[in-house]
Amino acid sequence: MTDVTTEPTARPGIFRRMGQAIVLPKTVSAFESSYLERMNRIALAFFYGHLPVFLLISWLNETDPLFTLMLTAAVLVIPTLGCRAFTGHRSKSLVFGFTAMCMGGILVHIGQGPVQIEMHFYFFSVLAMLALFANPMVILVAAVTVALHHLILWYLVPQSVFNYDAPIWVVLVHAGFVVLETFAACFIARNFFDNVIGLEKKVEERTVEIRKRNEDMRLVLDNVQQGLVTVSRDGKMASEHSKVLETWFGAYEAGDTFAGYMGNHDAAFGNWFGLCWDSLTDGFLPLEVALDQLPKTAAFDGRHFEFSYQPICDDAGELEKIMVVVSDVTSEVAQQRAEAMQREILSVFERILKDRSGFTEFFEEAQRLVDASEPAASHLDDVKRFVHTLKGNAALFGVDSVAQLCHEMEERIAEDDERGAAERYEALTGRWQELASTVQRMLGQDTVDSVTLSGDEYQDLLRRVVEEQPHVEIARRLVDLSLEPTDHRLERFAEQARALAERLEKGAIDVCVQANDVRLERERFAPFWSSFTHVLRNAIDHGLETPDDRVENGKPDSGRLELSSYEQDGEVVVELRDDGRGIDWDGVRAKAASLGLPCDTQDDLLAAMFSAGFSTREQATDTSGRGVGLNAVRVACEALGGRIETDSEAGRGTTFRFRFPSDVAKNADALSI
Amino acid sequence: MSKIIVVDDSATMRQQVKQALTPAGFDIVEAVDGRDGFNKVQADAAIDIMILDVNMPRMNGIELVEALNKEGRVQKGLKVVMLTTEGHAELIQRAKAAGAKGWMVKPFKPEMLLAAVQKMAV
Repeated sequence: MTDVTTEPTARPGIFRRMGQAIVLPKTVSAFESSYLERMNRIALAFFYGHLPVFLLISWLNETDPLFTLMLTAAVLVIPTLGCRAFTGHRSKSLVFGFTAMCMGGILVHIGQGPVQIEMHFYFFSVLAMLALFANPMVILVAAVTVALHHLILWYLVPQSVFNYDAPIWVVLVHAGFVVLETFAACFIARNFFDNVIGLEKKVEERTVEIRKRNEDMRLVLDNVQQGLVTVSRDGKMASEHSKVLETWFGAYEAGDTFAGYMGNHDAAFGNWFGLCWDSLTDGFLPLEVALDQLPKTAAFDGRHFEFSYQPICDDAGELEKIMVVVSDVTSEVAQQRAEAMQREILSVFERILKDRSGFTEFFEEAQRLVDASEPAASHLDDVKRFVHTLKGNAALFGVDSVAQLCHEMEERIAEDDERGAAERYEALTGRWQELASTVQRMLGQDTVDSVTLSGDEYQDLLRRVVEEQPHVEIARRLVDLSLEPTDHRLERFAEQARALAERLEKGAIDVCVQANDVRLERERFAPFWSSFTHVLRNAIDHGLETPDDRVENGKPDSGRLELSSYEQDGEVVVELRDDGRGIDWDGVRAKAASLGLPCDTQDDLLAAMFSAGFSTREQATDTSGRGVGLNAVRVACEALGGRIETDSEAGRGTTFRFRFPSDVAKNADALSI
Repeated sequence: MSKIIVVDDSATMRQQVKQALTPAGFDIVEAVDGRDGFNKVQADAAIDIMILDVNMPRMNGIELVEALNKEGRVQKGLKVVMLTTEGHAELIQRAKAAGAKGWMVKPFKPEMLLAAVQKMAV
């Protein structure tokens, strides 16, 4: 163990401190130098001025003027030579300390007689005057000189010092006053030095300190990776800012506004910022509301920026300026997007594994829909329908980013925001292309053209051949088998329905599928199936009640959907039945009336319900409500020569039946082989 | 206490405004479009704050403010707050030119709308 004792930093002793007070710091500032030079010159002239005065006193007092002349001249030699010999102004001043006291000695000597004591005032006056040299050492030299001088003379020629027989204690009293004055004069001289002569030095030190601080600040501003600038109430930017701001958005001049500065880069953002700033300063809205509305994100040239604002208020709480902090979040945004894309790709991959042909078909149709959805290229109603279908399909196949972009594009279209819609469309095509390149790799070669048979179907076919049934019969059966079994479709919808019901808080619903071995032509029915999604969504979103509501109405808590296909009276039927609340005919009637549609008969109401732009929902959600869905399914159904039957009973549920002529469904042309 | 009219064709939006302001004790009147809003404001001199949507059937928000401005209601102290979506600078400029002093971006935060209305009601 070593004993570590830390020496307390002791305060210097009194003598040391007195020494530090008397001895000046070595450095002589330019100001001190010129001041002392001037003072030394004045002092020299002052002492030369003593010569005639002393002669006069000597003559008047009859104390040998000639001797006085010689003595004074001899003393004057000292500062004259001293001023030449020493180069330092402080050293020259010391010589004057000595000279002054010698002059005092002469004065007392030539002032013998009744004024001799008064002549001693000279010492006190001049000792005080020496403080003008701003150097305690000068006073000390003078004090020592006068002490020695008095001691020596008093010893040798007592009457030269006192014209009476002064005892030693008188001399000590006399000396005591000199010591007292010396202390005072030293104190004054040192303070004079520190606070007046040394002022320049202090300023210099402060300046260096401030410069250093500024340099530190600059260093921070030059290297910080955030754009920092303060903006005053009038919107103008302070000249101090972090360098990266210039790197991102270019330089600016004093007096530029932040809105103008950003506007040079992106006019729309600058415009918007300017408006937000106006509302910040016009005082109509509360500060926190206006602050909250300032734009928080922006993307310029593919880089993403985040803006945050720190209000700086004066003592009265009035907004003075705002500190704007800009961060480049491009990499974070890219990271988030990459992660989202990764998740999406994963879910797409799962879908492909589960239902390859279904996904392939979705993918091909989506590609067509993306192409057709360009706002400038098609009629706006068509664009709305395409985008809506694409949204539904994309959500069904787990491609949420595309569904989200479709939703945003629909919002813009609904607000007549052409520019916004075009921008969203651009984003949509961009996203789609990214996705398409990945998906195409996963899908590899197409499998849509393959024909899949179940074991039973194969056995049945084999039996027909073995039984030597007529060729036409067998051919008919073969054509039949080349069609797509509806059970794939219906199962897929069932799965979607369960997921959607979960999402819309309709609980775990029962979905029952009855495909009855119906097969339909894949290509021709694709548009119908993709619009069928809307009917399904409507059934869950509008038809089925929440489990609580169901229990309240005396129903089983889980809702039920039946998806079926069957052949009946030369028609192929696809049916969707729910046990929900039934169609709100009053709502349909009111809405039809408000849209100016006929609403007198049940057929009128059905027609209205399936017309473009019809929705009883006040607010569109990303699930349903834009009034596009049912219209889309009607258009698709009619294109296949089909018709829609609707049965609905309040509180019991709704059934939609899509009926297609068998020959259309089975593609009669294919039989003319 | 101020009387406030909410003019919006979306019942959901009117509901949101009501939910934000009713607990603070404001008296709320609803109007479903611009024409309805105009009639109600003209019929009730006690209404002193109007919160309105821009896109509405039968007279849009800007036309409504212009009409009320012409009738002198804005000059008589009717305070107008426009609800708009972010980035529509030109709409706000038109609304301001018509006499709407304030505007808020949808979707608004209920506490922000309340703070704005409370400041106006002073």
